[in-house]
This record gives sequence, C-alpha cells and structure tokens, in this order.
Amino acid sequence: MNFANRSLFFSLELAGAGTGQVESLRSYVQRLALAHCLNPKHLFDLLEQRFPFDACKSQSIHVLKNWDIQNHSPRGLAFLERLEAATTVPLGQSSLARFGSVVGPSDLLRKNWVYCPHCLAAGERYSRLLWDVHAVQACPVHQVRLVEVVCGAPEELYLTVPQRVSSACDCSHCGAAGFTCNQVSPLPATEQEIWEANMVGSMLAIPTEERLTTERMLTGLRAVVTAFFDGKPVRAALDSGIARANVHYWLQWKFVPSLPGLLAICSRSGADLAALLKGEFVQVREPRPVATAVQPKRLYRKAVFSHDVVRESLLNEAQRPMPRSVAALAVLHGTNHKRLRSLFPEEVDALVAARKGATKAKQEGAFESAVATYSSAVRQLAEFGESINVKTVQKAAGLVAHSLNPVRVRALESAMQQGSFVPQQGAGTNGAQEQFGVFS
Amino acid sequence: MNMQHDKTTTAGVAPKLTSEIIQKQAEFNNVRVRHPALNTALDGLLPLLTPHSQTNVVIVTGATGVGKSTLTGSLLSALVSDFTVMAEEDPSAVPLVYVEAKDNGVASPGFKDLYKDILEELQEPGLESKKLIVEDGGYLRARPNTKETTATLRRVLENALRLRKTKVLVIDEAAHLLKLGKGISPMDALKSLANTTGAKLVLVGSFDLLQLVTSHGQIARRTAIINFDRYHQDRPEDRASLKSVLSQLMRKWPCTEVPNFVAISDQLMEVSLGCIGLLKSLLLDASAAQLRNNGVWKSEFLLNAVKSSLLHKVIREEIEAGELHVRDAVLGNTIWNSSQIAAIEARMAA
Repeated sequence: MNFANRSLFFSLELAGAGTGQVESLRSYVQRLALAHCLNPKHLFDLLEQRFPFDACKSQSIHVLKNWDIQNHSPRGLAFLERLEAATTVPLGQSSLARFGSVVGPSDLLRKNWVYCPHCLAAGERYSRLLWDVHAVQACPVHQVRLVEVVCGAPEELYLTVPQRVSSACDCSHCGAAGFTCNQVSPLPATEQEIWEANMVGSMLAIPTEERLTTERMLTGLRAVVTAFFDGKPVRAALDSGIARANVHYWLQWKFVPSLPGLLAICSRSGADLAALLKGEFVQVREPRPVATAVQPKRLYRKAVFSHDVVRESLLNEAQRPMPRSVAALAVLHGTNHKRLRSLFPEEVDALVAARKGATKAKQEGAFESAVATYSSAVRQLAEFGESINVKTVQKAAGLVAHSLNPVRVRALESAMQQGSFVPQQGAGTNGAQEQFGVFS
Repeated sequence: MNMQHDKTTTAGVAPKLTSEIIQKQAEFNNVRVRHPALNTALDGLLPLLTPHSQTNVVIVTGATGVGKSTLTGSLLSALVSDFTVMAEEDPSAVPLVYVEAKDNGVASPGFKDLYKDILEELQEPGLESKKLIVEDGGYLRARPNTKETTATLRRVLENALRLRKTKVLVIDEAAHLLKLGKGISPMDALKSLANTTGAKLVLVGSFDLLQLVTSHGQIARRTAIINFDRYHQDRPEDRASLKSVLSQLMRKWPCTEVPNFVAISDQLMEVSLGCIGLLKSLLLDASAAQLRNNGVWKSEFLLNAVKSSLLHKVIREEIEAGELHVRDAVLGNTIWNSSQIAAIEARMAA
C-alpha cells in the first residue's frame, strides 16, 4: 500500500490557533503524549531518535522540568522545528520563540504555572500560552486573576510518582482533572491587568506569517515615543515608570526591550502592543496618567552609596549572631561583593570570619542535636530488641541522613559507634542503602 | 561436467529447476483475472465502504479457493486509489489498514497480537513504552504496570485509528478471530472498535467466519455479509464466464505451447468446483510440470494436477455446507420472494 512514511506522531490540531487563547507548546506536547499513551519523556526520546538534535542536546529531563523550549533559545527552536516535522502541524504560534528578535527572553516565561479555573471548567481543557507569560496576571475572557497551580488535596490522596500523569490542565499530585482539587475562587482582576492580558493576547494572535523584525519593532517604538512623548525617550521611560535610560538604550539597540517595559509604555500611551511590534502606532485606549513614582532600583540606590554607612553596616553585621553574607550586603547597598571587598577589605574579612564562626557553631549545634536524637533512637530500638541498622535508626529518629546533609551523616555514624554498633566492612551510611551490622 | 540439457527429456527424469522456470511460474502466479463474480462482489462491497454508509462491519466470505485473496487485492487497490488524495493532503493519515489475523499456535490466544499488528501497520511509535491512563470520577491516573496489556493496546489502537483518520480496516483470514476473546465475544470487541473509531471493518475469511456472526446473534443493523460466490455448472452464464476466464489465462500461459483448456472448460469447472482460485492453482501445477518438461505439454500434467477424488469430495461437502449456512444471511437475500420483487419493480416502473 502507498501509505508509507507517515508522520511520526498524530497531527493533533493546536487548540485556539490564530487567537490570543492559543495553546502553549507545553500543553500541546503533553496532550500529544497522552494521545499516544506515552509520557512526555518517551515522546521526546522518540522525537530525538527520528530527528537527532545536532546543534544542541535535547536533554529531555531538563526540558520537561523547565519547559524552556517555549522560549527563544537554540534548543527551543530546534525542538519546535522537529516537532513540526513529526506532526506536520504548524506550531510556531504555540511558542514565544518568534518574538525572540523583538522582546528580551529573560523573565518572559513563568516558573510557576498558573491557570484560569473558569476556562478549564468551560470544557476547553488546554493550557494557554498567555498563562505562561510572566507579565500576564489575569484571564482576559473571565476577567479574574490567574490561580497558581497548587494541589488542594490532602497528602494521603497524592499519587505515587509512576501513577502521576503529566498534563498541563490536571493536577499531577492527586490527578484531579482541571485542578478541581484546588477550590480557591479567583480574585477579580483589575482593569489594568485585564488590559495587559488583552495586549499580550493580541501579540500572541499575530499570525506566524507576519515577520516580526527588530527594525519593525524599533520603528513602532520610535513612532510611539515621537507621537506621545514628544520624541523624548527619557520622558517616555519616566512617565511609564521604568528606568530612565531604558527606552534610550532600546532605541539604540544596546539591549533588547523587556515585555513588561513595552507593556508599560503601551499602557501609558494607550498604544496597541501588536501594532507597535509591527512598526506602527495605533492608539486603542485613552492614555493613563503618569506613573506615580519610579520604584527605586539598585541603579538609584547606588547614587546614595556612602562609605561610612556601608562600613558601619559591615561592622554591625559582624556582631550579629548569624551574620548575612557579603554578597547579600552588597545587594542591600546596590553594589557587588567585589567592590565591597576592594573598598573595605578589613571589615569584609571580619564579617567573613564572624560568619564562618557562626556557621560552624550552628553546624556543631545541629550535630549535637542529631547525635542525641540518633542515640536515643538506638537505645529505644535496643530496648525493644529490634534490628538496629542505619535504616531502622533513621526511621525511629525521624531524621534522614541523606548525602546532601553531611552533618546528619556524621551524627548517625557517631551515634552508631557510641552504641557499640559496628557497621559491616565497606558499608557506607547513605540512607538510600540498607546496611546491617551487629549491636552488642 | 557437461551442463547441456537434453531437449527431449523423458517424464521419468527429473529436470532442473532453473531461475527462468521460477520466474515464469511467478509471472503466471501473479496473473489476476477480473471476472464477473469478482466484479459482482466488488460492486457489492465498495458502496458499503463509503463514508456515509451506516454499515460498519462487512464480512466477506466464500468457498475455499474461490478467489478471496484476489478479491482482497482488488479491493485494496481500489481503496488505495480512492484514498491517495487524502493521504497526500494529510501526511499523518493512514486511511487504509490491512492485516492478516494469525493463528500463533497458542492454547488461548488473545487480541493482543492482532492489536499489535494493526498498530504496526498504523506506524504507531513507542509500542513498548505505552502507559494506560484512566479517568475515574474526574481523576486521572496512570497505571504503570499495564504496559503492553490488551487494555492498553486497545486504548492506543482506538486513539490511533481515530487520529490517523483510518477509514477502512481489512482483516484477512478473520476466521482465526474465532479463537480469540477469552470469554468475550470477538464480534462485540470488533463492533465496538468500529463504533468508537468510525473505521469500517472488513473481515475476510472462509465460511467458518459466519460462526463469528451467528453464534453471537450479531447480524445486526450495521453488519453486512457478502458471499463471494463460485461459478455453478447448472447456470449457462457461469459456464460462459469460466470459459472467458480460461481463455484469459491461456493468453498468459508461461509456455509457448498452449494447451486448449477452453475445449475442456466444463470438465475443468467440475474439478475446480467453479472456484477460480482452485482452477488457477490446478493450472499453475500443470504449467509448472510443462515448464520442467522444457515447455512440452503432456495431458498427464493436467491429470496429476487435479485433486484426488477424496480431497475433491471433502472440499465440495465443505463448500456446500457453507453455502447453505450463508444463503439467508448474505446481502441481497431479503424477505421478499421473487414474485414480490417483480411486483415491486412493476409498481416502481409505473
């Protein structure tokens, strides 16, 4: 028969294609995996087998954890291209990769997933790309704030890891379809949040055939600045509540504009974001009043940097029971730790020594406490005549001595030795392994 | 060593099987003759496989050697040409699937092997890593220990048939399905598959296949049975058709010296029981003997190719019993008798 060389995967349609409610790539991949009765990792592996990733490693585990393939990255672009070949479905709309040349990639995507309960309850069980955009706080359809993905079921109902289903619209912990386990009612969204969500939605709805280039975006931004801010980038920045130099640098193409920054300018001027990216200034609403106050950021705090204040702060910090790190203090004073070290070497050394001493004391305290707990557990087990090994002792003590906690590992070894427990030759004390010895 | 052949080989000496002989035999074996009975069966079958037909399970049955494999081949060719445009437009679609049900010699075979065969034809990836996901009371849960179970494969198959947009699923040698099921009706399983996926099932097999339908009382609204009828000696038109088939086969005869089979068409019809497949196999054996005799025909070749009287009797009895069984169930055999049909035709003409 003539039906050889079919596509690797089913040609599932991308939900909400061509609209602001378009499905995210994350949701599409998970839906596709469910349709094939595979988990997404197997889907990735099959994809990689058929279309090897030459330019970059796919690292399916990493991808599944962060889903950064939805962003503009070599891995994301390579994955998108291969998935399109494997499904024969154009998927450009499901990812933010196509906005890579006009919007900066940092903080573009969320780390914690959110959803609109009303959208999922309405029966359209797919996760929107809009929800994954960091700048979006509200659902423009139901005008409510997006709800963070949290399982509301008690821990007893949690599924074991192999039983969990990887789906963007269902709770992975308890399996509740549409996150019905979380009964939190979403708060009503503000007018500004809804407007921003609508703007991002209109951006996502731009057809993939429309080529978005840096030049077009800069033309649009220049048009907005000229028409509404008298051609003054600094005024545009300050009026929109962003750092004064930002718009200037964007127009100089010194760095790529951020989506929240562009949204702030559109919000102030009433300009349409999608039109701006296409190189035009289209006013879609009345301009908003000037942003009340510029939030002082690290850039401004630097201006009030005083040597005396910082020196005193370092000395005071060294006196505290648990001093903060030099890096944390540097952030507090709007600078970096190298500068602090070069300007105040003695104070910094004193702080480092004080912190080291405090840390050591804290660890010793934790060690003593753990030894006491483990020893008590050993005695208890001995009294009841039960088997004594690292596993039973940890269980009885309620403290796990895993490899990332060397203090507890040391405490467990110490407690076992105090109880004349002799571990078998070659046996370690890793809690993941079961070792046996003789207790006398 | 002298490799020359003696051109006047006697019947007692076994001649060598050369590649030329093998090729000529293969060519004759591949000859497909479109004859009236084949056309009738195809004409009955193809309309049932159109998208708007309500029939979703079609059973194609017929006597041993009547030409069911040729019919299946012709059906597949016709369907492939129908679905070519669809397959070109949608690279994910597998509109037509053909599998052969197998008897694996296992004591209690199940559907698993059949499902796997169909999924392989559907080019389903990662068959060994499938995981069944069940939704119960609004909760989704994976069942990790169900890899490659019948339930998992069934779910995968339903998804694959639906999402690969399969229109027709042809299962050859479907009589083997009788042994499947382990307590459940194979027909129920297949009908439910057709209902849930929208694919039309064509089951091709011998008269035994009728048990699949009748033993479960499943001759229902959406099932049709097509009997690929043999040629009968008491019908003059059938005798003429067989002559025509013979003359077509003689034109493709693999030797230069062509025996006059048309002259003995009635006798050949009798020994082949009017089954074109049996006739073809008889002629294939005779032609093989002639090819081995350097192309020189001898009438004993035909005599040796004819089935023994005992075997002939067994086949005839089997065919007659099957035909009796299938008579009332086949497509076209309605509750109207011939006089009622004549009256209906007259009224409609008026």
